[in-house]
Amino acid sequence: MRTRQTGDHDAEREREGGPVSVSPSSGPTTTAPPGELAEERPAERGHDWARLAATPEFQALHSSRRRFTAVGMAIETGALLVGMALFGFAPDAMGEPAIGSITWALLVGTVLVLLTFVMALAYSHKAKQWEEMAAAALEHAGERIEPARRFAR
Amino acid sequence: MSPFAVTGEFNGLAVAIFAGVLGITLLITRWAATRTKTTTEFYTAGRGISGRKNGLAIAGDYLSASTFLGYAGLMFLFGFDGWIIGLAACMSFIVVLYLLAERMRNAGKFTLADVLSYRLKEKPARAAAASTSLLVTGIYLIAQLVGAGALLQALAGIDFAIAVVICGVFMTVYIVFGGMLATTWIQIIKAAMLMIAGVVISVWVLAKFDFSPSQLLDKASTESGEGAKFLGPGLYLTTPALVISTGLTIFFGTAGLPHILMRFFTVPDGKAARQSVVWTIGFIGVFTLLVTIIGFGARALLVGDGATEAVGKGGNLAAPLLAQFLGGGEGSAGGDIALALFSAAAFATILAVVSGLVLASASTIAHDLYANVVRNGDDIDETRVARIASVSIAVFAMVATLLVGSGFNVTVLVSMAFVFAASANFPALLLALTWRRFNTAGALTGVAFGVIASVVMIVLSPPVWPGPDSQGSPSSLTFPGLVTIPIGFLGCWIGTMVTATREEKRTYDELLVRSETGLGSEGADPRRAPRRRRAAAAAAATMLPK
Repeated sequence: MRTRQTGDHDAEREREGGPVSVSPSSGPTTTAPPGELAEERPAERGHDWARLAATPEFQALHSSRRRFTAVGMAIETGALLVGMALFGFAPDAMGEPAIGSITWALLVGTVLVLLTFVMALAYSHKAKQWEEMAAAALEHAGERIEPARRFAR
Repeated sequence: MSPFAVTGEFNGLAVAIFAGVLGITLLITRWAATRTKTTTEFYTAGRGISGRKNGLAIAGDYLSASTFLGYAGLMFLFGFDGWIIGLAACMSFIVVLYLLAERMRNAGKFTLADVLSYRLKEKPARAAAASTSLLVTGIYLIAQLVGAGALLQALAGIDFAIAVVICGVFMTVYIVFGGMLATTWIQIIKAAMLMIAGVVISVWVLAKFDFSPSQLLDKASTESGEGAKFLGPGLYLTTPALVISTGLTIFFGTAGLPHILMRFFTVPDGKAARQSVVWTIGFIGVFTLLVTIIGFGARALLVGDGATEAVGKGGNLAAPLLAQFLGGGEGSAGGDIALALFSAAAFATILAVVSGLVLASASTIAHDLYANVVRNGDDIDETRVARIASVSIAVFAMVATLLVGSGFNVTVLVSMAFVFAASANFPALLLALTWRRFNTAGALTGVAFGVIASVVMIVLSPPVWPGPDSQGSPSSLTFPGLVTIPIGFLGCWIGTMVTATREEKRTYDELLVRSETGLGSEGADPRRAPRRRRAAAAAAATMLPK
């Protein structure tokens, strides 16, 4: 069964009168017995995804992302749960003044907002490193994201 | 006469400013219509929105009337507890940033279902994702329209039915003619208006207390009648389970809202998607902090006979009345102008949010259900179908809103939308992106478990359970994510484990590499790319080896 997924973007562009982007790679095609695959996406046959995914460079990128994301999500989710637990289980203590008339609850809330800023900036900073790792992984595998592809018509 | 008796009276100045807002939005739509020809332009503005603009637009999507007016109103009524939902919402964008933003942009095309069904059996997975997307956006849309009608009735004296029809007609015009580009720019302008209004009012309130937060808080707690308890938790969310469940539902629910996730397809690449969320967090974080000043400021300054009655049962008019008070009070030129300007910002908010919801619903019907499920991906004019779907959705939403009426509890609808998003959409979407073994049966089971658990828990909750004030309702959780989110994940796990098929395993590598590197992701229209990126791409192209 043919489905209308990403690969059909080219067909759409062609219909709309624009040039069609060229697949950046001519790597080997991964094949599978008929009926075993959920879908076939014609424009992506040019990439050997399994080989790409198995390269040490991509594995390093994936591990780094997974590790950072897991730690970051644990921190943010943990902070949310601790904050909510404090508000829920200790409302009287949270209602006590901490600085002037500013209560512990308001202070904890402000810290959660500031933590969110810090986590966002930390991710943004780390993501620059992942961009370099991704480019290295693709280059090593003989792949490249054409600049024109990003703005393909 | 109460000094705060503004509700329901015809406000000519506010209506005139509303007309001005409508005029500006129509000009934007006219401009956008000339740049909206292809399907990609209709759904995604040609993927040419910059990260910063998209970040502001996402903040605009989040800052709906219920957020913008509701949080300040809850703080006016219940003090600190009114801030908890806003806090969780601000933090929820970390879930979007860390787990979804770049992955969605790299792996998807137009909709949430594109990503969820990417490596699964397309028809059933897409149909399931589309159904829950429609459920969430439909409920959210009706909630916004009910709120819009009630708000415009109170602020400008426009009849509820007329206000709903005005909003419905204009949101349809924006989408049908201007598509995502018009919606995005209306969101950007509205979000900027809200941020400016929030900063001006906050500074003004602080100035009334010599820029001393302690003086402001002291006055607010005194005027509340609750004393020091007003500045701490426990007045609205009265049990630990209720606090934690509400926080979790909002925290994970945002990551399952289709109209928010759809915005990641409007930027050129994964990097811009990431930058969008960072900007969003910046805007929303600042707004979350400002809301404390506005909410407590309203409590401290809106005193006297009838203040609480004027603010309304849900507290939604606290912020507009505060603006009127700061401008000089009712009857003064400054007060009327401040109220009218604030009302215009609220009106723009409503129009922008409902149009975003209509576009998300229309894309689900046209792209997911019609083009890819009913027509099996045949060549069809998807934009035309989406436009027809937009009109149909708008008519349906207007009729449904008029039937439920202005007295319907909007909180129930909003909590339903978040619960479905957190329990049905989020688990399946996350596992589709990150769990190699996850399969179609897992997605279908997870979505079904999430929906059923949500429906059951909502029926058992106080706002729905029958009886006087729903006393004795089996569940106290208005936002039951504490129960329903784990059930959604459990459904995904059970479905996957009991039907171990190999069909999805091969294409997980495709999804993984694509989502983490951007290789093979949808390209952006060069004419629509942000200027700086266009120049960088051109420069890079000249440096490529021949």
